[in-house]
Amino acid sequence: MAQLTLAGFERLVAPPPRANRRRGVPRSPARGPDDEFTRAYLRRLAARGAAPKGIAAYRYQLCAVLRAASRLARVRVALPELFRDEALLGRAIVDDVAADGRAKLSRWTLAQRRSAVRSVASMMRPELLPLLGEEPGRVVDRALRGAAERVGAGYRLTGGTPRRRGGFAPSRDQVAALLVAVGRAPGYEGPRNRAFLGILAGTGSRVNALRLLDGADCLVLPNGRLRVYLHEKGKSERREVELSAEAARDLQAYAQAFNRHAAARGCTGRVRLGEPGAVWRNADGRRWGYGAVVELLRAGCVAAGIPPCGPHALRRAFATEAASRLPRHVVAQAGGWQGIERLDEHYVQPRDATIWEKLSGPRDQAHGTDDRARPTDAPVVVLR
Amino acid sequence: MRQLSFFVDGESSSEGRGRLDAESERLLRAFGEGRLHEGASRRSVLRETSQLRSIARECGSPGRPLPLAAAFGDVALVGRALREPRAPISRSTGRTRLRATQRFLRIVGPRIGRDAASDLAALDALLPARPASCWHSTGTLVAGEAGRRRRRGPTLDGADLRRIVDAAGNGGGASAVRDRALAAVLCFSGLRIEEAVALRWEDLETRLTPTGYYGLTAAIERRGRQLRLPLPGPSADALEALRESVDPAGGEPSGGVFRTSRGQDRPLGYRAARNVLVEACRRAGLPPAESSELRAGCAHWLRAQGLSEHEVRSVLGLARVRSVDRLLARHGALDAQRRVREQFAG
Repeated sequence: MAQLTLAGFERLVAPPPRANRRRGVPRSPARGPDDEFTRAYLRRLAARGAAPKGIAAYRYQLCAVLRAASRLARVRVALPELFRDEALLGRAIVDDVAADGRAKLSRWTLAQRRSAVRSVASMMRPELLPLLGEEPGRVVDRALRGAAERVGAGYRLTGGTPRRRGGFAPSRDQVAALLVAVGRAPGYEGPRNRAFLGILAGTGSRVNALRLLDGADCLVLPNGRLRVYLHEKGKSERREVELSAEAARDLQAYAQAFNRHAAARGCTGRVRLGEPGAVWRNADGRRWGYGAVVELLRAGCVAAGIPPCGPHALRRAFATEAASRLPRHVVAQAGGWQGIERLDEHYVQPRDATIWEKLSGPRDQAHGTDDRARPTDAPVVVLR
Repeated sequence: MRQLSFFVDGESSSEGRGRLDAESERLLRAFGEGRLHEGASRRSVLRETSQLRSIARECGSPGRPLPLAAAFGDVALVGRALREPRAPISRSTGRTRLRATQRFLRIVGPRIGRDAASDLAALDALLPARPASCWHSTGTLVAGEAGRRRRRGPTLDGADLRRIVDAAGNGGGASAVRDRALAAVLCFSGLRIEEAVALRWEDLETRLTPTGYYGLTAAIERRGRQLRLPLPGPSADALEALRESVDPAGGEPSGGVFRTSRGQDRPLGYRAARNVLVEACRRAGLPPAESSELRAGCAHWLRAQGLSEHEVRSVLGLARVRSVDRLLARHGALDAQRRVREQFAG
C-alpha cells in the first residue's frame, strides 16, 4: 500500500519501540505515532479540555491500531490511509492480539480503541472529509459493521476477553489487622502507611486519587473537620471527602512525622495540609509511587496473615461493609459511584459470616421483620 | 453601566486595552448595532464583541492582532482559531466564539464583500464534528474545557453560613451592620449578589403569610418576571437591624438598601459586595465562597428547616426543582459519607 500524505502534513515516522512493562508498574508516557496528523489531533483533543491521561491513552490506542493494521496489511500504514481502507480499519480496530503476538486483549481495551478511532474521526473531520468524500464517522461505522457479526437486528463484536472485575474483599477484621501490620514500619513510614490505607478503607477512595493528593486540596474547616478533594474518575470536578476524626488525626500525625524525618535528613520538602505540594511522600521527599503502595500492601497482607490483595480490594471492602448496613444508594453516594449498577455487580460481595450473624441474631434487629404491635397499630379484626 | 452604554454613545469601555485598528472597531460597532437591532441583549453583544476581538488576536501574531476584515477574509484562518485556540478557554467561551463568528459573517460579512452562506458552509466543513443526534444539530465540536478551572470551595451548611454572617458583623466600623445584613441576605435568601446590591427599601415588604405569620419579602426581577421572595429569619432580622441603624426614629427609609460608606446615596457595587463577602469568609476561617456555594448552603439549611425541595425552589426563586437537586448533590454525598462513618464507628 502506497503511503498517502495529506497536504501540509509530514510523512509518518517510525514509531518508537514499545517499552517492556512489568505488571503493576505504571506505564511511562504513552508512545504513539508522531506525525503531524496525530499531533494536530492531540492538540485539538487538548483544546477540548481532555485530561492528559486520556490523551495519553488515546495516543497509545492509536498506536496499537496502526500496529495491528501494519501487521495485517504487511506494510506500514498511517492514519489517513487507514481511513481510506474500510476493511483494514475494521479488522485493525477489532484485532484483539496483544503486542507480544500471543495474549488476547480485553473487551475494555478494544472499547477504548474504538473510542479513540471515533474521536479521530470527529476531531480530524476537516482533514478527512475531503480525503474520504464523506463523513468520517460513517466510514468508521461501516468499518465496524464489516468486522462485526450480524445478529438479529444489529451487529455484535465478538473479539476480546471479558474484563476481569471483582476479587477478594477483606473483612473488617482483616482490614484492621492489615492497618496494624503496616503501621509497625519504623520512622515516618508507619504513620504514613496507617493513614493512607486507613483513608482508603474508610472512604472507599481510589488509590491513585488519594496518592496524587495535593496539600492545597486539603481543607481544615472551622469546626475542625478535615476535608480532602480527590480526583474523581471520568470527571473534571473533584470529589469532596470528609475524613473521620481518626483518619484526620492519622493524617496530621503522618505529616508531623514526615516533617521531622525531612528535617533530620536535610530535605527541603515538607508536608503541609492546605499548601501546595505532594502529601504522600517516600523517604527522599518525592511523591509516593504506585508500585511502592502495591509492594507495601503485599508485604502487609503477608504480615497480617490475610490473602494477598491490591489497593482496590479496600474499595471493595468499603462497599461490602457499608452495603451490609446501609441502603445501596447511600453507599454509592458515599463512595462516589455513579449509580448502583457497578457497585452491585463488581464491588459488593456479601459475606457468609455476616449473613449467618444476621440470621442468628434477634428477630427485631432485622430489617422490617419486627411483628410486635405498636401503640399506633389499629387491630384489623376484633374478635368478640 | 458604563460598559453597557458602549454601543449607545460610541465610547469604548476598554480604553485602548485589547482594541483593534480603527476599521475593525468600526466593523465591530456595526456588528453591535446590528445585533441590538435584532433584539439581542447588551450583555450578549458585549460578550460577542469581546470574542471577535479574541479571534482577531488569535489570527494575528502575538501582540499584533489581524484586522477583522483580513481575518474573516480567510475562513480557514478563523476555523483554525476556533479549533485550536492558543490560550486555554472554557467550553462556553468556545461556543460564544463560534456564535459570534457566525453572526459576524451573517451581519457584517456582506459589507466586507463576503458571501455569508458560502462562508458559513465553509466554516462548518473546517470544524470538528460528531454525527448529529437530531435534525436541528450539526454536531459541531468547539474548543474549550468543559470543567471549571477554579478550585471548588467547601460544601457549606447552616453553621458555616451563620459563621460567615457573624464574621461580617465583627469587622467593626460604621459599616458593620450593613456588612452583616449583606452577608445575611447572601447566605440566607435566594437573592444573588447583583440582586442584593440593587435592592431598595421600597422592594421590601412585610406580608401576612397564610399561617398568620408576618414575614419579610423582597421584590426582584428575574428572567424578565417580577418575583417576590420570602426572606428567612436570619436575613430578615439583619435587614431590620440595618433599617433601625439607618433610621433610628423608626421611619420608612427609601433608596438603596446597601450603600457605600462614603456617599450616602451611592449604592454598593457588585465588586464591593463581593469583597465584603470574601473578607467575611476569611474571618470565618473559610476560603472565599462563591454565590452558588452560598445558595447550596442555604438550600441545605432550608431542607433542615423541614422544607421540601419544591418549597426550597420557591424560596430561592429557582425555575426548576432539578436545580435544587443539583445544589444539594454535594451535601447528599457528604451526608452519605457521614452515615457510613457513623456505621463504621459503631
